Amino acid sequence: MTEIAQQFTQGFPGVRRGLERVVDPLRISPAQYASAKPALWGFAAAAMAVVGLLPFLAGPGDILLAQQAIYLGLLALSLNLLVNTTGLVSFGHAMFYALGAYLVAIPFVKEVPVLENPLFAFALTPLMGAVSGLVIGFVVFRGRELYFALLTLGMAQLVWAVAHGWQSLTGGTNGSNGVFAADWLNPFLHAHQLYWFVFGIAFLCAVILYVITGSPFGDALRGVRENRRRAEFAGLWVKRYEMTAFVIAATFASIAGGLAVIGETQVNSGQLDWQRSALALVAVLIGGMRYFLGPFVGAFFYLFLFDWVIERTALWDTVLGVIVLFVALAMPGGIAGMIHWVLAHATALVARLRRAPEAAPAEAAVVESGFDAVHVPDVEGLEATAAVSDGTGPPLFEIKGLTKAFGGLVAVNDVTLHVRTGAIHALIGPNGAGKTTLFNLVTGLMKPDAGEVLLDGEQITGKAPWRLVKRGMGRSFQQTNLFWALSSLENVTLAGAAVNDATTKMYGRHAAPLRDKARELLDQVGLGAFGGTSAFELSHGDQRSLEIATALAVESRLLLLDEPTAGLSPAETETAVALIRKIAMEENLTVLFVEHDMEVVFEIADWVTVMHRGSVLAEGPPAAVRADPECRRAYLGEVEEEEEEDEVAR
Amino acid sequence: MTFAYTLSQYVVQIVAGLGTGAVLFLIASGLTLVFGALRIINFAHGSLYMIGAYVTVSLAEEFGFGNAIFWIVIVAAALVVAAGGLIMEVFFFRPIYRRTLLTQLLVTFSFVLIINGVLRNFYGAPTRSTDVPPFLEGSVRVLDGRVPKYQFFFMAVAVVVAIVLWALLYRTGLGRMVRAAVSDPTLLGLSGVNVRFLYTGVFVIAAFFAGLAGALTTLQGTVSLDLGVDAIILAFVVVVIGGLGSLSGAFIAALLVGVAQALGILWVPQASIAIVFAVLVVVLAVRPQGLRGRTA
Amino acid sequence: MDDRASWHSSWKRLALFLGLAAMLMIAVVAAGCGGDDDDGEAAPPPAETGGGGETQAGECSVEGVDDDTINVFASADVESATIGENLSPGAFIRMTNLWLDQTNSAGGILGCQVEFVVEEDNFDIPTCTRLYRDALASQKYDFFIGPTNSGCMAGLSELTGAANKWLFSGIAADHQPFMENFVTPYVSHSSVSTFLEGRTAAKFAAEQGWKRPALMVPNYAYGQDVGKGFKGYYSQLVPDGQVVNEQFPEFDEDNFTPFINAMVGANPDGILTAFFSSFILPFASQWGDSGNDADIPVISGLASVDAMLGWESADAIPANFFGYDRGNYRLLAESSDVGKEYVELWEQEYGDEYPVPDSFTFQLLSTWQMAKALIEETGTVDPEAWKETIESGEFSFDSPYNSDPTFVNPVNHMADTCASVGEIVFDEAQPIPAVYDPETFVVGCMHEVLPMEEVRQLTDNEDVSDDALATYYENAGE
Repeated sequence: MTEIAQQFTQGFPGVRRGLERVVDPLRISPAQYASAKPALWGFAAAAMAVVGLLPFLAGPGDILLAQQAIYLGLLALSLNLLVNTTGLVSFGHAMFYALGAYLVAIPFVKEVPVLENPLFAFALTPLMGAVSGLVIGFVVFRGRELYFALLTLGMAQLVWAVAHGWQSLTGGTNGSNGVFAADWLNPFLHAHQLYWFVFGIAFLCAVILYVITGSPFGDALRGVRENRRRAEFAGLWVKRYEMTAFVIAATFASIAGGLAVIGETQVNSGQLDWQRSALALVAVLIGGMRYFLGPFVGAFFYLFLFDWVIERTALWDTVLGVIVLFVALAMPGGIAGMIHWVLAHATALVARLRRAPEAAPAEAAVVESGFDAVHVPDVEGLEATAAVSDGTGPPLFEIKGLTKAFGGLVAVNDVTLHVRTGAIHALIGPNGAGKTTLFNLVTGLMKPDAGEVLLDGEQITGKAPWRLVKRGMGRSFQQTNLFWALSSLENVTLAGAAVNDATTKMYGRHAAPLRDKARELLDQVGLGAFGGTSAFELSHGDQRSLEIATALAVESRLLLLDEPTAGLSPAETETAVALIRKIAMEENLTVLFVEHDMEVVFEIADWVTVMHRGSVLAEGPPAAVRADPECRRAYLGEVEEEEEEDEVAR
Repeated sequence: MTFAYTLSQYVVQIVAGLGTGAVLFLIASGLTLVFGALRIINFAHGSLYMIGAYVTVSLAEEFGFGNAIFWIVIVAAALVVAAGGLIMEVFFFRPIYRRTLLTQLLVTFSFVLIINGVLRNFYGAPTRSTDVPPFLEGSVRVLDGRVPKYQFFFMAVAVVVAIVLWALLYRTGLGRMVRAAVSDPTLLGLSGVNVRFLYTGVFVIAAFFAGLAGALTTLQGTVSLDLGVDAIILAFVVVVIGGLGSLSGAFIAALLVGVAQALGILWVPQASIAIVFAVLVVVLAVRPQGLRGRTA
Repeated sequence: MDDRASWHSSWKRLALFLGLAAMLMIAVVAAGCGGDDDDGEAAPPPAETGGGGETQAGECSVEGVDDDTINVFASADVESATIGENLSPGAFIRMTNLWLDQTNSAGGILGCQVEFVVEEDNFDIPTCTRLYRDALASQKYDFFIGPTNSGCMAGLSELTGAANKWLFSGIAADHQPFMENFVTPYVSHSSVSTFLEGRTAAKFAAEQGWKRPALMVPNYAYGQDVGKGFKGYYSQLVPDGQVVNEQFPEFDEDNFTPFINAMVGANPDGILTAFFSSFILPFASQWGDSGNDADIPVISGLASVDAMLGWESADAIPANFFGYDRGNYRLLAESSDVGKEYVELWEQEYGDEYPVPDSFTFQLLSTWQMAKALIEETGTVDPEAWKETIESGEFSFDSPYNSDPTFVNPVNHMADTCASVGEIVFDEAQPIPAVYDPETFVVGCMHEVLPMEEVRQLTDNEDVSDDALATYYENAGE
């Protein structure tokens, strides 16, 4: 909201100041939001109770409207599993709703044996959703991001067009009518029971979705949403997780569709086109997608608003549009966010009134990890001693004759490299030497044209990253790759869980040992106090440390670090170096790292490979490489001079 | 399903399909440029098209649709829509460029609603129509069949617009900046281009052509409040098949979609709309970036 | 403002929450509801048998009616007038007002005044359905009249039937409740249905000697029904005829060239389309442009006044262009007393602004007439009584369509109304120049286009004896 105000008042500092004076007291700190959580839960419980008890509180018109809001809400809730939890935007989610609806309606009208009992057909809607989700998923996942969304739109329109055109089956716009599920669900004789049936089913579905969303599986989905690449490198087969989320969402959407038919006793193709998908999306966004019940809030809000507005003005769609516009621009948290905001103010007010001792407990817990802070693990015990190995052990990681060309440019030319177990092996070379390409080739991000890669004797050439991670390869990136919105602890826990397939658990929490291990790792890298801080809030140096922690969490035997000290200040570099060495020693890891900072290389590497223009120029212990004239010519010239200067200065 | 048609019927059908495609191109061209340069999905583009149609109806009722007036009326309608687009972009789209895809969606969708309400109140729900200017009355003989003259007019206009847009993109400074924006928006800002002006410019041009398409569509039938939503879906299909941001792609795809629909009417009448979406799904599944789009 | 921490599944918190919600619900349920029959809803006022009981001289004596008023409900898109100003509910509400004035000032029906409540549904199916369900649940209304929206009407009879209320299909003219799913017995059709239109068109086609008709009916409820009506009867009348092509444009289609081309390619000798109101205009102009109109006659659809208004010169209308009419006012003014009376009333009241009452206005007029006759015959609004009366085969009422009493088919509850197919011409002498030429009308009536042998094939109604059915055909045939 303040952003918009700022933009509009750009040229008017006086106005802006005035605005700020009004707006500032309205701001809520994250701590206050957090302390309003109990109030939010209470509010949600009360709201649910009201909805559940609506037959006692409202007239038949409102009950019907609430019923319609429940189907839409359930559809939107299932969509939110994709949109908010997994980060996949689907423009065509209503197609599953349609399939579920027709599954209940058509057999009844056509008097298909067995299935003509709508309740029985309804019981099968989850199956319909799951199967169609799988089939359609194969098509739509061929696209990424925006193209994925557009493919979902296309598929949904296709489903709609078939339903619309196949009149003899679906009744087209006339639809299938008079689908009465059972006597005890008759909309006239037992309207309330019908309502409670609808409410009950929706409630049950919501509980199941809640459990799934909060489970380790849900964590994995959030990881995929935050950073797909990091997810792959945490050992998650991302495609499979996305597909699973899609199938689950489809399942619940189909249930919503079947429920709608039971409640409305009819379905026609006009209600199942892209506008229903759009409506579901609008409900999600208006309600507040970051809140679990946001979609329901959005559905209720929109439908009741629609009903209210349409009776009062001929300009109803304009009014509706303006309200939607306002919510979109000014309320990124949606209606639920606004409720939260109000409750936060209320709780703060209550706290002030009761003059509670200003312990500001939540604030105290947040120790400063500003962008400037650096946190240093206990470095003293890590002073350089002799390297663990002299590089003569058996090779853990072998690259043989790897080649990759991009058009005419041969980026990696017949590179052969052996990394011995327990070694700290540096890969250096000028820019453009092909180091990062090599890394990408051996970590599954690219397929080589020729050559092979072996990890502990096993062929891993061209395998997908997540498989490599499972076999014990961890990687960090030149540009930090973390699950940004997740906290440090969550980042590490997720990585640890993923690699052990503990993220397939769709209920409950991560196992205690996993969580303990994650805390340990954080301590190891010096971030023990920042378990609760979001990754994006950490300082750059801390982020690097966190990345190393996640790399450790996947229990790698081999760590590939791509410029681990890039962008770090000298102090931070020292820390990073000490950390790497400490970890390598303690965990008995093998490390292969790319570096530009020669001091670092010479400090910790016990073997160095030099690349130049795609080929291996030389390799050997650091001292040998330093002395090699070709290398010096190609790369180390300046360092040599510096070294001489330093020596002179001393 | 039947294929037993004469050559003449096929030719006429394809010509009719090209006519449909021509109008689709006019709508889709703006949409694809807006997406390519501004990276926003403008759901309200179909509504702009609809405004063009309704404004044309008003103007035609006031001033008639004689041969000379016709040209003035359609250009005027397009300009009105361009002006509307200007207001939309400056006041409502600018704040959302940096927001998420979803926010943009919601904002543009809200405009669909807003515009719908305003038009309904101004013009009423029943359909409206205009006459056809004298020089476009009647039909042209094509082999054994006849095709209404205005279909050829649409095609001519589409070709002219395609050339104009191509010239704009490849022969002017503005065009160069637009192409730069399409290929790398971040770099654009860094190279000292007045990005705000560029964005507004592209949007206004897109709105102009949408309005023009709306004005032309009055020639063939009735104008109703469904025009916008019907158009936007098809426009999206065209833009996506052609490749987001690609003008030549939009041209090819529009013609492809028009002809596919027309042939669908010949071969599988009950499923002719489904054919269009089937084409979309097939193209995207095989080549996700569209026919002429860049790899995502 | 992150939710992650809180949404981490915490069994305890979840359990607490569920427990709280459940406790709240149980508490209120326990406190509130008694018997489970009425679901806790406020008990409706007991339906008094013997009606507005106080017998005062000349007062309301219809059984089952409260407050001395017969309350009737319908939903329609009055404001938006989606299907055209002259076709819209606005138009037949005007006619209804005439009828209500006449009837109520004459003392009402059996002494009870009549009140008609119409609610705006914006031509939106869910809204329409909800309005009817609301109205049914409120228990305020004695019987119902159907909406304008065919999609809504299609499923409505099941709802009204479940609530034990009578539903007249008067506005939307769908025949499904009568033909396909005769699940609910409490429906009747008092005007011209799509079924009748389709069949009359088939009669026309047969009389014209069409052997190779083609169909272009919009992909919409109404269009599909007319198409089916046509095909069902045409195959009976012209056994050696064959439908050579079928097209399915969207109902607001603009570009007909591909459809026309595809149809003409099959060499039809006549074309049936099913557009209505101003939606006919684009088709008409493109058909005329295509030049095929010289050779191939077209039944264009329901050319209501809104369509007629769109043709402003003789060349605007293609040659050999026909349409079906559900009640041409000139024809009706001549054929029945009711018709004459109300055409005159209309001209007095609305003649300046609306010189031509559209056929749709007579739909509702006929409906009111039928309702009145039913109430007078049975003395009640009880649907079961009405059903019995109709199913005796002897019930009739004064509709605007025939000079003689109009009988009602006991099996499918459809009145013996008549539709006509006529040529559309340009006649400067008329208030609106584009008109049907009454000389060209081919008239089809229900008792004729739906032969007795076919009735039971289409509608399953075991409560009606063959005798009753035969009686109807005898009466209607005269």
